Amino acid sequence: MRFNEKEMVSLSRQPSEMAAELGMRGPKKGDVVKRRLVKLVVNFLFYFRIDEEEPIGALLLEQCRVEKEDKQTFSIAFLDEAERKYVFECDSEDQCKEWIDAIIKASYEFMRKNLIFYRTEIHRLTGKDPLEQYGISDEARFQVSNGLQALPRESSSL
Amino acid sequence: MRDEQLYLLLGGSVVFQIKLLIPVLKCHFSFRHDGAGEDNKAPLLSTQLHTQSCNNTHVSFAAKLLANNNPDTACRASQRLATKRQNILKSDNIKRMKVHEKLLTHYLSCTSPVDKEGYLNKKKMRTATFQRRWFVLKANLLFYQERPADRHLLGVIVLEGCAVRCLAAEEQFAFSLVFGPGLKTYTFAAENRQAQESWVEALMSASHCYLSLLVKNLEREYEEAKQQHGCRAASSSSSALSLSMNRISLAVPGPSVDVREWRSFSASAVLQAPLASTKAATKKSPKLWSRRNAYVTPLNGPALPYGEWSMQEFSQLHDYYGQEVERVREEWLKSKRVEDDTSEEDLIDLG
Repeated sequence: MRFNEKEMVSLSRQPSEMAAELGMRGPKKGDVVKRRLVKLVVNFLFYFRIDEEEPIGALLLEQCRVEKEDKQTFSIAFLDEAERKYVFECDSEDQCKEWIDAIIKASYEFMRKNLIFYRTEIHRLTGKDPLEQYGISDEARFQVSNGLQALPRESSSL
Repeated sequence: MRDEQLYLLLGGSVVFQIKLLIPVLKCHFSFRHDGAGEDNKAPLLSTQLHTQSCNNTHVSFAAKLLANNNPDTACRASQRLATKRQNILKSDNIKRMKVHEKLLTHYLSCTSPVDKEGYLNKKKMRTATFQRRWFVLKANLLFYQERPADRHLLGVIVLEGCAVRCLAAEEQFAFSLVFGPGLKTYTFAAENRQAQESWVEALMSASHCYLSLLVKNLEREYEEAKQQHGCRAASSSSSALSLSMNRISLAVPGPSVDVREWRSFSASAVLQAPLASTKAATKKSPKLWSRRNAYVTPLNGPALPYGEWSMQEFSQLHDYYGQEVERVREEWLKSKRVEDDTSEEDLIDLG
């Protein structure tokens, strides 16, 4: 599968408030904790070898579950596989909480839900649609009906 | 970066085996059959190996060339070289950022809303030909595959840090995603004007940065609206709205502008209203809004998957539902005060 790698590397170099050296362990059995520079940019979590300029990898932070493992450790589980987690070791409890919060809020879907909430509320309070001023009222992605779950692409039994 | 050119001239019925150690990132091959040689028996075959090196990655490259009077053999040898090149590029020797494809394909097929999908012609970089592909836009990701039903995903384009340009000249109904100096420009052609405009607008509002800015602005408006309208006593609603729209400056482009740009990076970027060339100020149908409460983040509905709830979102909901209680309480307090006042007065005027 192709992706715009150079552009993603460029993205990973953007300034980010959430960038720190953390201990990172992969989801497979036998994966050990490695010290990585972990950086949150938009809805991707980039990770670098210490002192390297280009990231080794990027994790898309959508449809994932972020959990506190213990005082200073949090985990991210993907693909509905609760057992397969990426584990991150922080230096303090505060830092750990900060990262969990930031990762949850970084998800595009989370932001979309917030936007729909505010749009609905502002309209309820003021009678005006706040997106009209930007000329994007009709954009499919901001529709109120998107607050409900869409049907999955492949048919699945309920 | 180092360029190395290697010219091999082969003739006669000789088998050559060449082992080359070349720093490789990209490897271009060209095969040329120079036609008959001097004596018309041994065609000259020349192969040009043109390489670029990057990151000091060394790859051992073995090339076996068979030369005889049969150009087919030479052709096959060239094909083998091409396959070798493919494998080199796929191998772990080349440093390539791991983007965890499974996560992307999973996101594509999950229940989150599709923001736009349809056929577009995508310009192939090197050959400048167009290929018809099925595109799916979800969040800030543009996925593409050959056909909608395909399981195999051809690729994804992350839509951050790019400007969307409508190309007036050149190909019909074309537009491009420009990532900036040294980075890619993707060019697409839609099937008609409507599709072109629709895609351009969808892509312009696709980035994470854009949404982030939008949400921040709406959050501010919401807080202000709550203060002004949430706990109000008597004054009537609609006209009293005084949201500071000045903070959000709108650039209104002229009607004849061909190029619309939206660059999605700087946090201080100003939100622009895209060209509404064909659209008048279309009012949202009131029907959608009459059921507004039903679409607020469902409390009674299915729980949101995984870590999508946060304390902040919940406290907002708490405030919202608490407003009615506050209002009723205020009214009760007010009426109680009135009672107290009147009870202070003497019931009988004793002069």
